[in-house]
Amino acid sequence: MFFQVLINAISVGSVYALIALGYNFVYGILEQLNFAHGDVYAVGCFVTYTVYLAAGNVFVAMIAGIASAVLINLIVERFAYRPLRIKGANRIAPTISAVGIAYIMRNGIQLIWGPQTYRFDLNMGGDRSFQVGGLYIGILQIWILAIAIAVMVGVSILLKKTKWGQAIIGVSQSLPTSELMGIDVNRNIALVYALGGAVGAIGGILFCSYYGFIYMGIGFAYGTMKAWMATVLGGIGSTKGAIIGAMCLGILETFVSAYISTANKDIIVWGVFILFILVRPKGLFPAEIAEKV
Amino acid sequence: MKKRPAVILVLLGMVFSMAACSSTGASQTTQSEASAQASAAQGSAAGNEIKFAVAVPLTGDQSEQGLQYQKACQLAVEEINAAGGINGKKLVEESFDDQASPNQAVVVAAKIVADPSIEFVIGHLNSGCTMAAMPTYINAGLAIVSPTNSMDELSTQPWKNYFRASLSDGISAKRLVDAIYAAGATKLGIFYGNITNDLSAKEVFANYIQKELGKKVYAEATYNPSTDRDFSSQVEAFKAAGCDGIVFTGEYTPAALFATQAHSKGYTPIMGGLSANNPAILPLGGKNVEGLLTVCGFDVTNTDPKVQKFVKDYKAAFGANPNDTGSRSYDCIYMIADAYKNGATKDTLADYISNKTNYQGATMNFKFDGQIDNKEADVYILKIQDGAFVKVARYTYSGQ
Repeated sequence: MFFQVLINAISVGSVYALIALGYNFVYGILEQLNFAHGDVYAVGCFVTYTVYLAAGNVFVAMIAGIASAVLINLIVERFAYRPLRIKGANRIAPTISAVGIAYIMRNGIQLIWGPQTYRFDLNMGGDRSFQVGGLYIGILQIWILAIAIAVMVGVSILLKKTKWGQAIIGVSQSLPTSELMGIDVNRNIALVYALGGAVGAIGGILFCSYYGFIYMGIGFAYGTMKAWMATVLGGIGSTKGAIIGAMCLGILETFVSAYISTANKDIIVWGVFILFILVRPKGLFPAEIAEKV
Repeated sequence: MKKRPAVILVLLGMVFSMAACSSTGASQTTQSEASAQASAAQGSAAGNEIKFAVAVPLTGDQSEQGLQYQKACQLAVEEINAAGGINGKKLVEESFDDQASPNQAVVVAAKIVADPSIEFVIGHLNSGCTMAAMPTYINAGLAIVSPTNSMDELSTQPWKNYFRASLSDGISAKRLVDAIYAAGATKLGIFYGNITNDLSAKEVFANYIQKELGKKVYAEATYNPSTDRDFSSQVEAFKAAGCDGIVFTGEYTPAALFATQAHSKGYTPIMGGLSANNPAILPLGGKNVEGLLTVCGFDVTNTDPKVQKFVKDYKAAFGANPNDTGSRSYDCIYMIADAYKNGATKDTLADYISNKTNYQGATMNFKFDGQIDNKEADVYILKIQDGAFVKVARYTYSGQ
């Protein structure tokens, strides 16, 4: 049982990791709690689902879904967050805006797709597994872990090796200084949201494929709460931290459920989470972006 | 110019909110709209309308069930009004969103009783919401009929104006356990949601298996219905305990996901879901839910012309087969219409239902004999076979 639980835990952690990457990207660079992250990617997943049913092509469907999440994040950034930033609002104001956007997104999903749960099957092998001894390993589980690591590496290279990435890092350190250096702050922040939406949508699509369903509530429970916990555990602004934080969260949840109590899982997981941040408030790998340049 | 983005955002929010309200089909209202309508209705209701409230979740995770309530009531209202109404008066439905939250249910109840033109209430979907809202309704003397409340504890409440069309979890759960054993399971586990209704049902399962049947519960596992969608740990726990049968308290989505995740790990117990009768489980669970047993207040395959007419009309109107949430709501409206036709008024409706109602509906019958529970309620054990629900057995209120 132990090794099967471990495999399950790594799978859960991988799913969280992929979703946390997009969240962490915005949170780490702009230090803004983006409570709309999950609901934006939920829209992207529903668009993917609809286009796949209509066109039958998984790549077209995924591109449409990712594009819709990018577009929504750009619109939200332009009309909900940027005006507050320009007016010098305190950090809590855009957070409240994000909560409002999340509710609008969720109601929008209910309006268009209804409240029911749909089967989400892009024929990516979400229900296929192979057996090693007595252990079952899902094919999509391996893909998710691989994609999470690939996205992490890609984002790190983008930030550290490209001119645009350096501009983003500059923006994350100081908006006024970046402007004085000639960096187009608004454009770069919009690009951060766009990339955050794209990565989030990829995570969301794989999440829905892995569990084989989609409904309007997937954004908050996984896209926001789990990603936020994983990001805080791993260290705000660290892509490596987001993945390791998500793995720790997945392993903790799964092992507590399997060996201690399913009834008290949330109490124990949140208790450990609070204790951890009391001891290490900046997470496992803090402020990688802000300090390494 | 600087205010333009904020204005656009506000307008966007208004469009979404308005659209979300209109999507519910009937006259779902916001608080201010409800107040305005209440004032306007005081004049009209006394004349040619009988207005009632449907209090269910219209937004949030449980809104699908709430919308079934609303749609089925709407269907009955349209039919009754098309046939001339009740003693010449039109039935008017107004929906209120309790969000499946006891807190919101109390707010909704206060809004309903503040509108003197509302004569009775259909709701709530959840027993917990009913428990929270009942003190408000009792003070106002409104008759409340719930098509779905199943918590055992409701049967013993001293309420004179509350009635439920469905059987309690106790009766349904026992018959479901019987069906799982009859299907060949020998070692049962209990899988339940960590919410009021499910905890109550879980106790019924455990007591019946252990105390009445003298058998053992081999494993118990729970989950949070709001946040948990990965059941791999629970699958491992049941598997390790050797359970070859699982009774499950929750809705169709977790039932389908649990079955899918269990099958992907080579674990195929006989499953019985107390609330898994939503037809949406069929496409969602696919081959993984084949053989799943569930409980339902009516049998969609019943060849009785009245049942088939209801199924056909519901499907034509809303594009999907109803489950017992829809069938019971539909018949509750007809049962109340019958009471009005026989002389009941807003003030005497509760007393009439309690003591005089003896009504045969399209999919179920009603008789309360001075109590909360419907003595004519049926329960069907259904099984998923070849992608459809088929009837396994039918039981009545007495458990026979």
